[in-house]
Amino acid sequence: MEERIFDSYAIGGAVAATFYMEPFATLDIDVFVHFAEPPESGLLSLSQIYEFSRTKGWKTEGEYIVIGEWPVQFLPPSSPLEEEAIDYARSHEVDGIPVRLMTAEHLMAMALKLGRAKDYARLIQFVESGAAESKELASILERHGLLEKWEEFSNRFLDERGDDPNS
Amino acid sequence: MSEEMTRILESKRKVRAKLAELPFSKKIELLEKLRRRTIDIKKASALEQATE
Repeated sequence: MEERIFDSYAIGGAVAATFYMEPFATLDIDVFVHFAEPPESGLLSLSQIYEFSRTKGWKTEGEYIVIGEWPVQFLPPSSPLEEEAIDYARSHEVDGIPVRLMTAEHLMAMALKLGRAKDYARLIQFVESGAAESKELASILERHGLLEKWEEFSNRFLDERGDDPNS
Repeated sequence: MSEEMTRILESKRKVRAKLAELPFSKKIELLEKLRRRTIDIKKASALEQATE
């Protein structure tokens, strides 16, 4: 019987964002994982992934596991928002293979929370693309205490556009 | 914003919207190309710095 290392996963970051919008230049793939057994520490559970990758002959580069040509980073969720983003991820077929991708709304909330320049740039593109459902986004922002941060972001970058997650 | 700039931004927006409509598998191919190009640019600028 095959041993399961994690219960569920979801691809996040630029690769997932590309599903909803135009492709973004990115160097790696972020995979968020829920471990099958609650790990004693995040590091311990990640070591299981590295061990598994060795059996598959995948190389490691620092914290990345190189699958095909892509460096893949496996990340245990570090906040309730990331936990929820894994749970709410939707399965999509890519060349006949099912792949779980985070929703546009969760990707936006995570970008807002991170708040780096590139996250805001991606958020603006998300808003322009109309990929997200406003009510769903507003509800995620409210659940995770991000409404105020959205307000600041909106005032700074979207004011002239009049975008409102509640509208 | 000047009329010219508005026109340029609008045309860029249209290109991005077209790319967004591509199937995900096609987008993955583009992601791979973008990734290789980013690596090449990084290598070239590192080489340039090293030879300065």
